[in-house]
Amino acid sequence: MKLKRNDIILIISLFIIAAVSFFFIQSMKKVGGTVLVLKNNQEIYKLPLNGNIKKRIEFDNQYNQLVIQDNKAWIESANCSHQVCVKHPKIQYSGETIVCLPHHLVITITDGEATFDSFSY
Amino acid sequence: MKTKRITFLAMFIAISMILSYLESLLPQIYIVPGIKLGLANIPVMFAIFKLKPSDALLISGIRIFLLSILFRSFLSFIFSITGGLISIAFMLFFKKINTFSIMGISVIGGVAHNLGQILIAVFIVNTPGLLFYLPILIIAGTLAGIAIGLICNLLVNRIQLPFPD
Ligand SMILES: [Zn+2]
Repeated sequence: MKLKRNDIILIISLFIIAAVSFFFIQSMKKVGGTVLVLKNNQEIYKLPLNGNIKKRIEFDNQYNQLVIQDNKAWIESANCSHQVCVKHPKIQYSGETIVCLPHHLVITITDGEATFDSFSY
Repeated sequence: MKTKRITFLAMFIAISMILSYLESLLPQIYIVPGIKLGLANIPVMFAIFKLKPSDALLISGIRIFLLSILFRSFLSFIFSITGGLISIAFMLFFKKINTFSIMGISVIGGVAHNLGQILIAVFIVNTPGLLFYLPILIIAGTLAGIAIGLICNLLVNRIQLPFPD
């Protein structure tokens, strides 16, 4: 297979961009204080991240079981089609988000201060 | 000639739908949403290099449309079509300016697909936090692009089209 020099440059640059943005994002991460639950882009719950909470979020037979424990939040179970939200790793840093697209549900961490969240793209 | 072309395109669409199905049978490595190998991109890339740009668009667009009405939701249609179109647009552009070989263009397609999907996700659910996924999406797109590029390189060099056009 013949590669052009540009191919190599492209692949190496992409790895460098990924590494730089990884360290940039890593350096901006800080443990948040609040768990926001949004349904259809509307805030429906605001919960403390340092709490010990189990909450069943249910609308029209669509449910997501939210757990907050040890300063982390995650979805324990849900009846959505792809289970992407259930498989998502636990979140704790400001701006980190679990999305359940089929249920239009977003779980996001904030701390009220300037965070990655307010970083305008 | 016209009938031949239509038949040929239909065959390509069928192949890319089967490849989508085969990919769904592979064990899913879950890291972040939206990462995939993109086997269905093989016929699209073949079309970019051996047929016309409009053929590539047709193959990809019709595949996504058919899969969506058969098996998927409207939302997943929006995601797939955005990723697909952005990816093809970038590949066609870089093919045109002739800066990269098949490998480079495949990598561009893979990365553009992932970035397109994450941007539409940020827009739809209004959560900039999804941009945390950026680094892993770039790496995944690059690796998938390399794998697909290797396969396409073989195919483009070995398959002769049944009609000179
Ligand atoms: Zn879900």
